[in-house]
Amino acid sequence: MRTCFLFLIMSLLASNLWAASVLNVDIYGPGQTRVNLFLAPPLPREQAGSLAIIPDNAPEQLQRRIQANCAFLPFFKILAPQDIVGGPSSGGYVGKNIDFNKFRLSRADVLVTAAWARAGALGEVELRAYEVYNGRLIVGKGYSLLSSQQIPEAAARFCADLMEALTGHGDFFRSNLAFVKKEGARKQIYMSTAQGLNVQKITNLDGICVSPAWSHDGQKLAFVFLDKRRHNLCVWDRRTRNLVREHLPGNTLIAPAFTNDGSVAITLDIGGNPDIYRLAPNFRIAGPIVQNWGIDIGPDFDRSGRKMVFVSNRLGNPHIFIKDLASGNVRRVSMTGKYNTGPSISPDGSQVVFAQMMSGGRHKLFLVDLASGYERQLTFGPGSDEDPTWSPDGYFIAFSSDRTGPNQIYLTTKHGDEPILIPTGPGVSTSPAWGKL
Amino acid sequence: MRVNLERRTYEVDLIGVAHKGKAGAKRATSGPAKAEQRKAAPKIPDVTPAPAQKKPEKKALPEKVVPEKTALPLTTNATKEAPPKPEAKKEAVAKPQKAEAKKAAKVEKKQTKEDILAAALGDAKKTAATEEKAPPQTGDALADALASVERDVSGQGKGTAGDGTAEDGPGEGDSTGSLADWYAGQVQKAIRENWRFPRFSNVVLATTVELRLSRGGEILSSRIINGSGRVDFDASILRAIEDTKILPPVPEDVGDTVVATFYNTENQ
Repeated sequence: MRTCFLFLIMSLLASNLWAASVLNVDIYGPGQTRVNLFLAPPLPREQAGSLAIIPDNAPEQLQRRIQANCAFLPFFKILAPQDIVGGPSSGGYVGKNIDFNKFRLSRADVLVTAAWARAGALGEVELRAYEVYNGRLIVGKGYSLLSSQQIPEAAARFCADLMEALTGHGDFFRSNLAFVKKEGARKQIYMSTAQGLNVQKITNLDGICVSPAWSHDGQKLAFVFLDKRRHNLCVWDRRTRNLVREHLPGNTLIAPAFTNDGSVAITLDIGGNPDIYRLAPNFRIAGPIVQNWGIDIGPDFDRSGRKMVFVSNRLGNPHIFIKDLASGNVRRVSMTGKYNTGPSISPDGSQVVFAQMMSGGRHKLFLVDLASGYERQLTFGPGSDEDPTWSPDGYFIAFSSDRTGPNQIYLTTKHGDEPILIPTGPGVSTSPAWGKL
Repeated sequence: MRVNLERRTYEVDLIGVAHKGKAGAKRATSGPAKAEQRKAAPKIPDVTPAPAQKKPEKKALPEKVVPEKTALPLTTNATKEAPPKPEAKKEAVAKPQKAEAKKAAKVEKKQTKEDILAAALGDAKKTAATEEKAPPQTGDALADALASVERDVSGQGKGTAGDGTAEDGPGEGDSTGSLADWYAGQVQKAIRENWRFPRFSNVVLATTVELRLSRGGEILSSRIINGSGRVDFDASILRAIEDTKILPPVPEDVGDTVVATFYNTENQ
């Protein structure tokens, strides 16, 4: 009995001593949120081959396109050839032939190799991304290119796959932005990829087009068209390229949005003051979603269609509110500032971004996490940032800003990364709307 | 999904020199002092005192202005028992002091709020509020002054007890307190600098790694005890450790084994 007791004491002491000699450290978050990416110079697939036989300088073009794509991703830092110890060449394009040591020494985290072979009118290219630390292949794809016109497409696809392998979301490079461009006295709707490529004009109407909004499947675009006489609701179908124009009752039509089942919600003033109504597929008014003595505008729905954010001045000044469509419960989202507008809810319904007017009349973007209520400023600096819209992966936020002069579309992330310009051509671009594909 | 915004209660990092100075500021209190302070405030939790201390003081000031003459001998008696610093504040002019007390109360509230469980703060506010409301104005200036001084004294007692606050850190042994924590901070800083990983995940990833160090701080070996399930996350951590190679020399009473847990989220 006594020996048992003693033994217990001894083991307790011993374990105490042992425990005391281990130091516990918690590290929250890496010191850098950008990993170092290096694009090795392209190589011919055959050992004895040469890149010179590939026409149009395609390897070089593809290299530049991939680099430009990666520059949009705030989690990559592109290393320059002179950063690589012992020269930029990789020694091979497949893992077992690559000299990873030099890239490890140069602190590269991801290495991309390109191997070309002449085929048909242009060629075939194999693109591989490796994790430098352990030589693991992250993603590898082959593309057959018929002409150099397809180079941007191949680059976008590879970067989408790379981003998907790293983050689980590749949609950025597969998505489209709609926006409004000013043309003299008129305003038209345009569309481009999320990086500003393939800018296309969608409307050629005699009047002013405002407030574009995509349907959840990315196939339809709704917007308001103001002609000389009245306000119209327009819906454009991407597949058929068909434009439907509807007159709705009342004097004003403001900012449509699609619900998850494809029906349109829009602000009408048929009740005397602007409220949000749901429309049936034939554009007849199906019923009110938000009806209040105040002004309620600017709805935006999450992917599930259960939550809707909107702007209301029911408490005096314009603030952002959220309505749970199942329970009908409405609660306030924006707690700071005196003038909050332009809300957009993330596809998963967890965060809301909006524009708050600061002193001097400029607007800055703010982000609220709905679960915790934590609200913080997302954009800083000169100019006015407005009309934020979430990307389908819930990571990027596009907005319109005049920080460098006339309004342009910029891209930031939910972490408030430094905004970069999405080039959409000369002139003023505003009101970005982000579709899925 | 919600992740990096979850509040976590964790021990306060007391790195380096103890804070000097203002009453109610966080201090690494020594063992015996703590015990004494704990005795002084048995009922009220350690956290309350900082706001509570300032509020009674604030309240005392306006009352003192009126019965100043009669109250003086009493206040000086009382202050002999109380620690010298708050007394010095009282003897200065009423108005600027009030403002200062208000400001200090706000600052303290901010500091303590970060370290204490929300519930405790709620209690603190309640007790402070009740203390403020407490004084029944009997109309007798002398009695009122006495009562307010009494409150002050007891408030201060709690006040100084407050400074150890919520952190009882790695056990109660204060000897392991500062130095080990300081070294932990150094390890954290050194490895973090070399650690690169993108911020895009909505999921919390955590990996635990055991490091063995030489006395000089060289990292002799590292092995993953608990992986996160994501190859690239674990690889980025091992790489950061490899790139770090050497840490500051290990202090004498700190062991040569470090167990580091890496999270992909900031602690907000």
